[in-house]
Amino acid sequence: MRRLAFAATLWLAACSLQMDLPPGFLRKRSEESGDLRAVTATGGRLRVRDFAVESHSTIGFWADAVRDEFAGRGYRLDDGHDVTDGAGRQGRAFRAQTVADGEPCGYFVAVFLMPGSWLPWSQDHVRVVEFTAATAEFDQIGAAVQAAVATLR
Amino acid sequence: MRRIPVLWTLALALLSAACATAGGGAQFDDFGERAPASLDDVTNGLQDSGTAAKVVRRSSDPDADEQPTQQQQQAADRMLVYRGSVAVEVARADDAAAAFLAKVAEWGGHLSSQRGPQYVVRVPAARFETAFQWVRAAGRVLDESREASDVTDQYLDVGIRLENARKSRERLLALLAKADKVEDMLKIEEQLRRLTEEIERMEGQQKLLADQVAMATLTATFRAVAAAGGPVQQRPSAFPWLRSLGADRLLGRW
Repeated sequence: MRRLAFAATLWLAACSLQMDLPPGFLRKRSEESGDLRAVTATGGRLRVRDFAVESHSTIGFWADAVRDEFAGRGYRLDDGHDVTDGAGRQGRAFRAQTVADGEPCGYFVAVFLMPGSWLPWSQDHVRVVEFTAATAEFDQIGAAVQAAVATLR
Repeated sequence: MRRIPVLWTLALALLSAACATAGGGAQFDDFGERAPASLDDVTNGLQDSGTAAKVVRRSSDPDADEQPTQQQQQAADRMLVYRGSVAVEVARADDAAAAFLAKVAEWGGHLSSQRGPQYVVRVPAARFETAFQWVRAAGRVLDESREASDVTDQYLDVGIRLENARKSRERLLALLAKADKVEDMLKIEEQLRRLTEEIERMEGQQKLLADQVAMATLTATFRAVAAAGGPVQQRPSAFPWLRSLGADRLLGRW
């Protein structure tokens, strides 16, 4: 029984999101599993989430879907650039400027595709990293957030 | 051996001379930052009219003497009129404009005019740079320009002409009091009428300049992305989770 509990703990730890947060961030306890949330003292917000998606897709498909979604909502994303997470997965990241809550802010979003395993109940997932902060803060720590994405597991 | 005290004295003298030179330079730099206002009469006049002009001071000529003359101080004081224009492309033009106008009110400014997505606002000169940078940060900058026009000479010139005109009016009034012929009285009154109109015109000109110095003018244009790249499509997404993404969602309640 103890071995089973230990194995379950290890499995849960392996499943949870791990990321070396940039300096100045505090990780918040998340109420949702598979969800990482962190904040800065001055209002910057970082969130990482996994979404179950249809099988046999590609990262290009989801990058286009994210771009299309934001274009439809009036966002103006840059051309995007390739990123790699801590597990070596290739992803796509975009940056945008917008106004939220009446303040100009920067927005960063990165998407990764995580194919499911051979198990029949396993699903593909899209991992989404988002970061937003007031423009000044975003300009200051945006690069650090992007660097932290490379440590995401 | 006797030469040693002489050398020491010489060395000390050189050292003290060097220190004195350095001290003088520091004093001058200090003055450059704290140059006193010499256009008090100008600012007082503006305050009387309900508008406090911002006199922007520029640092004095570093080659000048340590104690500047009054003329030099006056030359260092400048009245600048700030004007700027920024056009940005934003996600939601109405939201950005509303947020901007709220900020303008917070800065002590006001909306001067609006034409479509173009908003002309007046903000206190001290807030001009803040306002300019706010609009730049609100979206992708499409176009920007700004200038600071020096109106010091113009303002002083109007002031001098105004003072002369007032003195002339006083002289005419004195003449009118002494005039005993109706024809003379009519001529003097005609001159007085013209002079009064001229004085009022110059007072208006002076007030306008003071207002332009005190309140900078910024033209902000917020263009929605849709305007550049076609209509914004609000069709339902095939992947509902995509709807949960975005800066506004991220800043929502956690």
